[in-house]
Amino acid sequence: MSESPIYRATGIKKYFPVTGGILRRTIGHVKALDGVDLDIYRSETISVIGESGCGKTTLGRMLAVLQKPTEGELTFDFGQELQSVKELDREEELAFRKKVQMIFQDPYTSFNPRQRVGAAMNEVLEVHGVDDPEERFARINEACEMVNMRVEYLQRYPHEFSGGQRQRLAIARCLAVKPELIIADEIVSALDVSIQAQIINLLRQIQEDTGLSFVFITHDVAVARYVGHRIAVMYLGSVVEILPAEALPASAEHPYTIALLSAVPDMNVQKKKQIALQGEVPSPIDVPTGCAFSTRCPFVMDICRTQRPQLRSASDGRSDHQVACHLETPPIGA
Amino acid sequence: MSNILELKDVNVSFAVESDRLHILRDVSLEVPRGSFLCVVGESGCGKSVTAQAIVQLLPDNGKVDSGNIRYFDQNETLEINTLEKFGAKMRSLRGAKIGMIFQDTLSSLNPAHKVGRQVAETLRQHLDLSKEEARERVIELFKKLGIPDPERRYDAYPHEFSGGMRQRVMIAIATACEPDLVIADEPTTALDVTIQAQIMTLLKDLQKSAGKTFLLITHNMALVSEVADHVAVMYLGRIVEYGTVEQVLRSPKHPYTQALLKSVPSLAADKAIELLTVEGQTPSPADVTQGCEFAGRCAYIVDECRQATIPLISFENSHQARCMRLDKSGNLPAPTKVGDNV
Repeated sequence: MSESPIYRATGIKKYFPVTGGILRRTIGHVKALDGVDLDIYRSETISVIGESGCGKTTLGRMLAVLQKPTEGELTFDFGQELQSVKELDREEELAFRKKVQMIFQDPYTSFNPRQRVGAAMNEVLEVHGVDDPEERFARINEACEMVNMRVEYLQRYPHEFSGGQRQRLAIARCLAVKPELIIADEIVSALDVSIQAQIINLLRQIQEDTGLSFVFITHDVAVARYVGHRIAVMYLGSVVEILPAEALPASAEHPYTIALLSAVPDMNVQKKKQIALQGEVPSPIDVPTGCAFSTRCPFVMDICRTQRPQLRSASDGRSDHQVACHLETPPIGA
Repeated sequence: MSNILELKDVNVSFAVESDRLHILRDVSLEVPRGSFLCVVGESGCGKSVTAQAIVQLLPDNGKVDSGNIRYFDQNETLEINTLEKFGAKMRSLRGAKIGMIFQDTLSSLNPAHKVGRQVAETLRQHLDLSKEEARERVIELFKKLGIPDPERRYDAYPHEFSGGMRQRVMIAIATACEPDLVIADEPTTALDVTIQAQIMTLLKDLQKSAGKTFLLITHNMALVSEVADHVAVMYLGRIVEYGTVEQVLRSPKHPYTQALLKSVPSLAADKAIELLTVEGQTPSPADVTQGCEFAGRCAYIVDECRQATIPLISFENSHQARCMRLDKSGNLPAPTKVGDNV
C-alpha cells in the first residue's frame, strides 16, 4: 500500500429526488449517500459491505462516474497528483474511463446478446484507442489467459456461456484495457458457490499478479473479508467503519458492524460478541438525524440523536482502523 | 422418534421439448417428527422439486414416475402420490397439515388483496371460522410473529410491507392452521442477513416451542449449520449424503459435500489458503444417465464411477454417503485427478 491514494472521495452525497402529486413536485430526497469519505490506495482491494439500500452500489457508480454526486469531491491520481474528475473534457474523460473500469453483477445483461464476445472485447479496445489490430489481438489473448478462458471461445455468443464463464469474460474485457482500478459490484452474487469460489480465487490471483486496485462491493461479509485488504462497512448512506480485513470479526467496534457479523451464519466462528438487531433499516428518505444507526442501536446515547459521528481512530490504535461512533470504548468486549 | 414424512425411491421427470429429463433420482428421505431437516445443494440439484413433489405442486410438465411419498398423520398413513392432485384429501393436507413458505413473497401474495384477508382465507378454507373469528386469529398470529401494529397491518396491501415483513406474513399463512410439517423453500435468500437472522430465529422458535417439523430447502451451508438437526445434500437430482448436522458439516464423506464446504469462505478463513473449487459446472440432467452424477467433476474418479449404480453406504449412527470410493470407515483414497480441485 503506497502513501498517497489513487482515488479519494470526500464528503460524497447523492440525493435522488422523490416526486409526488399531480405536478410531480419534489417532495423529498432519497439520501442514497449522505457524506462518504473514502481513500483507495494503489494495489489494494477495498471491500465495501452493507445491506440492501445502504448505498454501496451508488458509491460504486459515483466512483466510476456513471452518475455525478450531488455534493462532494472525487479526485483521481492521473499520474502526478490528485485531480478532480468532475469537470473532465472528452479526452480526459476517456483517459479516466480507461484507468477506471467497472464490472457488474448480472453477467447476462452486461454483454450484447447479438455480438460475439470477442468482438465485444475488440470494440472496447478500439474505443480506447488501441489502433493496431495485432496489439488488440495480443491484449485480448493475454486477458483471456489471465481468466483461464480459451481464445477459441471468443467466436461464440454470450448465450453459449454459463454465468461463471460470462463473469470471467467480463473480467477479461476489463483487463484488456489495462485499467488501474476496477470497481466490481456484486460480481459473484448471482453464482453458485462452487463457481463463486472459482471467480474469487481468480480475482485474488489477478490482484496479486497485476497490482491493480479493486473496489469490491458485496453484501457477503465473509467473501468481503476473504477478498479485501480493507473493509468499509456502510449503513444508510454512510461509512460507519473502515478496518483491515484481518481485524474482522474480532476487532470490529461499531455496533452495526458487530450486529451485522452476529447475523452472518458461520460454522467455524464462535461468536463472542453478539448483537441481535430488532426491526429494519429506516427509509433512506427519512434518515435519522445524528447517527443514522441511532434508531436501532442498543447503546444509543443522547448525543447520538443530535450529532452525526465522524470517522475517527478506533480504540485499538491501528492507523488503518476508523470508526464513526460516539461511544469512546467499544460496546462489547474488544 | 417416529417419522412424519418418508420418501422412498422417488423419481421425477420433466417433459422438455421432446425429451424427458430425469430430475429426481431415487430420492429417499425420512423426516423425523419435530426435527429441523435441511436439504442443501446448488441450483438445479432438485431440492425445490423435492418440495414440490411432496405437496403435489410440480409444474404441469413434471411427473412423479415412481416411488412413494408417505405422510404419517396421527392415526392414518397417507400415500401422497396416490392422492388426486387437487382432490379433497390433498387440499386438506396442503395448508392444514403441511404448510409452505416460498422464496419470492411478492409473487406468492396477491397484490390486490389485503394481507390479513389472505391469511384469513387459509384459516377459513380449513377451519369453520366466521370472518371476525378469523380476523382475531390472524391478528393474534401477526402479534406472535413479530409484525408490529397488527390491527393496522391486517388491512395493508403486500406492497406496503418490506421483504422481511412479507416473509413473516408468508409464515403466518403457512402456520395459520397449525400444520405439523412446514416446508420452507429458500425463505431468506432474498433477504438481508440481519433480517434472515430474525426469520430463522422465528422458525427455530416454532420448531422448539410448538413442536413443528421443518423441511428447509437452501443453498447456504453456513445457514444449515445454525438451524438444522439433519442434513441431506443433493447433487443433480440425487441425495449424495445424509446425516446429522454435526456429521455432515464436521466430517463430510462425499467428495461433493467436502468441496461444497471448502468453497465457501468463512469469517475465520485463513486468507493465505485458496478456496477449493470444483472444476467445471453442474452438467445437464440429460447428459448423465448412468454412474455417479458427480463423476465428471470429482477428483477421486475411477472408471467404475461412470458405470456402476452407486449405493448409499452407511457409516456410524446412520450417517450415509453415496460414493463407491469411500472405504468402510468413510475415508477417501488419494485423489486420482490432480488439478485445481485437490
